[in-house]
Amino acid sequence: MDSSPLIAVPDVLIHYQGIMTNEVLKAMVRQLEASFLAKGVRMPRVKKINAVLIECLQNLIHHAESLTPIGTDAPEIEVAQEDKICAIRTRNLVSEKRRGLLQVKLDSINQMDSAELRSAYKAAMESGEVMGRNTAGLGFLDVARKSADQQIHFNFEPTGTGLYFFDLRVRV
Amino acid sequence: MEPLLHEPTGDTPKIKLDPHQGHFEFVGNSYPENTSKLYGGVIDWLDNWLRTTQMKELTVDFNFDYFNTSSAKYILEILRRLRDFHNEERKLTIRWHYYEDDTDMLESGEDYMETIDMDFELVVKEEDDF
Repeated sequence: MDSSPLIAVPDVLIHYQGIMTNEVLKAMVRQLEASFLAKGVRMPRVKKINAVLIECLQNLIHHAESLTPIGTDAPEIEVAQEDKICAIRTRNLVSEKRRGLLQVKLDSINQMDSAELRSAYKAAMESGEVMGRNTAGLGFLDVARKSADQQIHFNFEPTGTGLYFFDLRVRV
Repeated sequence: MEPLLHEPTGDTPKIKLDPHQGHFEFVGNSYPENTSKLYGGVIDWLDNWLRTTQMKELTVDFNFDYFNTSSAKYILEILRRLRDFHNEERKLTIRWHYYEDDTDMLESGEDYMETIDMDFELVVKEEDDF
């Protein structure tokens, strides 16, 4: 995972690498919620952080290439916090085709301001093209809307096998 | 028609659609692994109910703590069907619940209102309710 810090001296709350399922997701959400509430974080903020975490994790569950589901190529997630900023970072393998789609989608999202993000989210939801599992576009719009800087930071690292590590970072 | 009842789990909300009481509600979290399985059943139930209902007044509470984007699509489909219930002879009240400083949930309610072109009652809930 890219070691460049999203925040200085982070307090790592969750770090997990391995097979990603909804059961893992639920366990993380419960753990994070309990951790934040114990620290006195108010419920609406806990919900916002969990919302971003859930979208990121469900993106891993539904879209991560699973050619090597265990080991250092397995999907990875980290949640860290310092003061009032929470940083969520995921890494997973993607195909060349999906890398291209993600690049276009995320570049477009990162050029939007908050009003444009809200408008694009509504349009995507009304379009009817995102029913079922294929909701990554809507999910990224939601993540960007809820992030501290309306940005989804990302990069792709080639593996030399035709796949890429997709590194995604969000500040909430 | 029999009510539709779904007990809440960690990632699915309580769903209670009771035509005999004139009250439907959705309460809790919604980020199921299989969204279409949960909400597909709700939409099928609503389609059947709309074809046969003689009800004149319906109140629906959307009291989510959180819902993911996959659920958001289905919530819109549910709202579109509820809108079909509403006409000159039938009254529909939709109550959208949110924590006072949960602007995300408030904006979601406002966006849905605009999308289906219907006013909701926006209801502030206390954090102590959690």
